Amino acid sequence: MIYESPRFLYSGDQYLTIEIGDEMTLKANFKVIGLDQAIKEGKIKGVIETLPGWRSMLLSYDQLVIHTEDLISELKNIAGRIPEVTEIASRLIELPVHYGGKWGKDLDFVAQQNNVSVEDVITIHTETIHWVGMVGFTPGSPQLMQLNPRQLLTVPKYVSPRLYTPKGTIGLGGSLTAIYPVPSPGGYQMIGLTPVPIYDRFQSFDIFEESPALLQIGDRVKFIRVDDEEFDQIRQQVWECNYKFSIKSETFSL
Amino acid sequence: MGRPTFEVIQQGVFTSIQDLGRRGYFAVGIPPSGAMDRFALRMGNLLVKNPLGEAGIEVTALGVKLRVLENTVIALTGGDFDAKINGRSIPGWHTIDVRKGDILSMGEAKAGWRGYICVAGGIDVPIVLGSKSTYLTGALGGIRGRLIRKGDVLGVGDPRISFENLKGRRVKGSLLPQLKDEKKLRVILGPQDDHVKDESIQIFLSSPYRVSIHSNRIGYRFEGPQLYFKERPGTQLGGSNPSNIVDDGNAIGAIQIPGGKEPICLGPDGVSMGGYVKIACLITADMDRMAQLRLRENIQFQRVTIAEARSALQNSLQHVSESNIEAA
Repeated sequence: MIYESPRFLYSGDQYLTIEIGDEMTLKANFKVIGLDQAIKEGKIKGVIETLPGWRSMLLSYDQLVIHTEDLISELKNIAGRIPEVTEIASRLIELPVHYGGKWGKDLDFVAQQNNVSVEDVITIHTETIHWVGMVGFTPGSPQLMQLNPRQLLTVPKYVSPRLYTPKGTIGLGGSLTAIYPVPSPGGYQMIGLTPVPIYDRFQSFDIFEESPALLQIGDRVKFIRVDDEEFDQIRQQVWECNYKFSIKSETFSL
Repeated sequence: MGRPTFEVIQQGVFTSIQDLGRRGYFAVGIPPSGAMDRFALRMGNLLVKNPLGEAGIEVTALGVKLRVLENTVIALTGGDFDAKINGRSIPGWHTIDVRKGDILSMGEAKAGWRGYICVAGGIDVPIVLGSKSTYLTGALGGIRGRLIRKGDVLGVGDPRISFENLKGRRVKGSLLPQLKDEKKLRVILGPQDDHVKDESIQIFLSSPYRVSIHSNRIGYRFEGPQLYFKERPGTQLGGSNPSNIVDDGNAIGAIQIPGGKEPICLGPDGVSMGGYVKIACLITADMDRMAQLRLRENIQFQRVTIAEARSALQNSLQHVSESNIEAA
């Protein structure tokens, strides 16, 4: 549910958690994004940074600049004033994916669990636009929600997480898709691999100039299926730093 | 990279370059990082008259052995690593002249767990996203985003002050952290303490916990009694276990209790988000204490108010002042 008014919760003495609700929905996510924009525009002294998420926001502040209770009352003012957010700027980013094979070894399991063929899984996953509802855990890792899929793909996570997931792995856990930006443990079912970086610590491409993370909350992702040959070509382009990311600036409404 | 000043002969077990961390990238999953014991880093920098947020070397559990390539002044702060120059013991929290050819050797931590080597001019590595701090998961900062290893040559920036003026400076004895005292970690309840049964909150605040060996800059694990959650309808997408919530952002210092067992308190390299109930958060001032806990040591969590947390931090910051430095 979405609460009538946001809940302000202590997260220690340097952070606040602002809860909009307890549901993982586009509606809750829109409210968080709206609040995040309003807080940034509000330029409250002492606010260091915000971490907007599915249905809540973590805000870090300097308690020696602003007392917690004063901060909360300023935030309440801002939250009370913001209009209903129904439309936001949202980039549509295409990411090539090689489905199945060694790096997508759980694709069969995903098909079985959803009573469809492997081909159907790939078709549904590439047809559907995915919404970035939160970024993090590892640097630049997005959690993606399927927007109006023909059939919602759902699969249990690993009972015991893997110790190693290669960089670029596309995973499905529950109904969320994740992309692993760096090698890490993981519990999502592995369905494919993208040959392009979504986290670039060297900031080698123009698009990484401001941040080493490609994706941010409110972006949308479309996966494009590529075969072995296309995968290798793109790898080569990435290696030579001349891969062109397809990014369209659009608006998206609820 | 500044003047080459130290060559690493022994690297220790987890040695990294840290300043006070980077801010502004938590929204994409990059935590602040930075020295885990900030009081120690700030004091070390004050001793050698650096800006307080200058980068130093953080050692963990086992110190380093360095060959000095260029005359300079250093200060060792934090835990006691039985440091020696050319085999002769040197005091901590004290400026030390070192000369070309000297060998600085540190042993295992005798008291505390993390030590800092600050040097006049600061360790010179590139500033990445606003900080020199090493963040291993993201391979950012420090020396190409990794730990320090044998054979590395560390450069040092230009000192702001002549070495003469740094001679014989030490921190007043009354200011040194008492690393052997009974250990309390002060916490503020929330953000999800309301998911935990009242009796379990009392147990959390009154039971001894043991520092697990699976503790590092990402998080400290503590072994203690089972805690129980209030009955509540499972969230549809957040997971059905009552220790699950719909993912939200993690504060640095947040204490998660997956399955009600083994609280995990996030350190400066902590993960930015997760789907576990956070019963409480460590206060900022006590991250320094956590940084110095020894593995398998017993601690207790103690509840404080926001106002108490603020004055603890104020105290810690005010102590780092020229008035607390004396001539040896």
